[in-house]
Amino acid sequence: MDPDEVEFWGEKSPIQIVPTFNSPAIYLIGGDVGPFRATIPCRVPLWVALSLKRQQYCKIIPPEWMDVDTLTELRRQEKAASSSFVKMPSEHYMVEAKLLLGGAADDVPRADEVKTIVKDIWDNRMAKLRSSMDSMIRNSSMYAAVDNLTLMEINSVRPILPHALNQLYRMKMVKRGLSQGSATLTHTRTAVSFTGS
Amino acid sequence: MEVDNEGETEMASLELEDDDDLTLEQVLEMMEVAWLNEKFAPEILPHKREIVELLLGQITYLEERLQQLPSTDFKKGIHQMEIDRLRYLLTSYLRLRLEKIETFHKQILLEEEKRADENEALYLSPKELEFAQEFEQDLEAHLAANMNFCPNWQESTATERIVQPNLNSMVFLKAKKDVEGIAIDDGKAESSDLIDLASGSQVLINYNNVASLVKNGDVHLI
Amino acid sequence: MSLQLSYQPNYYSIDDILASQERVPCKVLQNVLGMGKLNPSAEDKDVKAGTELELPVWLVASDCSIGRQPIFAPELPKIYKEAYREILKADATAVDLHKFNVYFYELGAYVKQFDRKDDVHAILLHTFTTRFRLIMDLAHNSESNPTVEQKLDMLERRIYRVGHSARVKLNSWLLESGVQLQAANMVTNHRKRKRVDDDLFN
Repeated sequence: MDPDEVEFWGEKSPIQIVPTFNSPAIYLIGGDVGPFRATIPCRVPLWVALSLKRQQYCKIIPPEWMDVDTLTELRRQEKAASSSFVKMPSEHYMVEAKLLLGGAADDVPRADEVKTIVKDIWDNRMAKLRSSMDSMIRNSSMYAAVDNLTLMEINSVRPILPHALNQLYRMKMVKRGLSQGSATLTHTRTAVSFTGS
Repeated sequence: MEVDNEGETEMASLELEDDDDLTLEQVLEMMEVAWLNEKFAPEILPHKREIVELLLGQITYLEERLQQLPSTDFKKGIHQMEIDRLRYLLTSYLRLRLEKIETFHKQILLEEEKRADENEALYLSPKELEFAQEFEQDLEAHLAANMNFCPNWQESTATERIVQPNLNSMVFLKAKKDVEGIAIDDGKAESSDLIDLASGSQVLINYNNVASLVKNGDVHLI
Repeated sequence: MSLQLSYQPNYYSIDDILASQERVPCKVLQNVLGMGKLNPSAEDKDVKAGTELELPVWLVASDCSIGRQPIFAPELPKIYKEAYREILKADATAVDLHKFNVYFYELGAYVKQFDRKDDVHAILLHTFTTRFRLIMDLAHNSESNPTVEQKLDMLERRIYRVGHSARVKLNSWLLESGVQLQAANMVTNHRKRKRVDDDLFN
């Protein structure tokens, strides 16, 4: 998946906005949004929030976790857990951070610090992911629980990890002599006769 | 802002088998899951034609209605964005399936034939089946025209030329309910461990071990 | 194409055709009439029993699998023999695998059928699992340097390339976000970087 596609899924995350306008509800296929009352917070998908923000129709209330103290604690936990991953407060924390710090930085208190800490957490998790991948291949494990990884993180090991495991699986299987029939692990071409007219 | 005005609204004429009371929001969620599954499954999955057609009907219907909104109405932009997102989802889904059909056409056609013989539900929509058959015919005609220096090549290699998906591909999935006793094939001989998945858990696993769960909806790929 | 299929040999795969074209040393067990051309160093009409030849692995493998009295007794190519296996065991990451054989793993998958002791099977797995870190590090180090893949065999190159192009995409996505990555770790796409810098962040 392209990172843009992961972003596409992340844009569905709900977020609170404070509208600056009044309007009845909008009936969207993915669920109604609104009604909007100026100064009364309401919950909309992130892509709606960003579109309204661009037109200066709202202020965005950042998710609770997008806060220097919460994130500092999260960063501490992530560092302390040297070989496991901490559960993130949001399945799409990177997408939300990118989009909000990009399109609504004025609504995020201490945006620069938030940016730095999110980046630290991401880097820390990427480093752990690299050693997890390496040990998975070294142990030739064909199964892994990835409960606390977010979609963007899972996507960051794709396709290299699954592809490497697929090759490893082929290498193991060819020994089992299952190369023909069930799975196409190796291929056998029969010689074609060039005789005849 | 561009608004299409082709076609008529067909919403009323479309029904999902036994699920007449689904909301559009639920249908959209089903489409999203179908996209993810199709994106990551190595084989082609049973088509979701009813959902695709229902949502395409929605797009047509909405775009007609949108024309009536004055372009100064901010709602118009939001609706248009949602339509664009939906259109991306649908076309990407259909394209992924076409790519699989082009890559594995022969294998898919053979499996469809078998399903038809056994009165099972087909995986391809009628139009996809037509596409697969034409693709197959065109390719064989092309090969016949260009490989004529090698008599009988086409017939004698018919079976070994079949390109098959690697059903042992590793995939990521998320469990939608508790599932017990999934066997893990680690490539070694007999040892197959069993695992249980709690609802909401995520794993990296061999597709072959979970293909039936993907198709029945107990898990979805991510 | 948005489908990302990992390598899987099929009838049309050029890599598999090339890999099975690689030669293995064999001893001829029976006189083979009229096939003198198999032995370019002699001008005889027939190949005599006892002759030593190098033949493509596709020919040898199909000879072994047919089930009748085999004509050729294949041997392991030297890169899969003990001396080379020891080098790989000592430090597989230091080896120029491309020089061993361009299709080290794929040829290995064929020749391990002639290996009764499973040593080849073991060394293929050992080599692949040990070198993965190297491939991953190369892929993640996103400076586009065409020389980095020179020491990789073709299978490793495939993995490196898909890994690298995914990493380039991820890095430019992160860059758009203004999350400051170190320059050394970045894609060398100045045009893109400049545009983004002018944009929302900084």
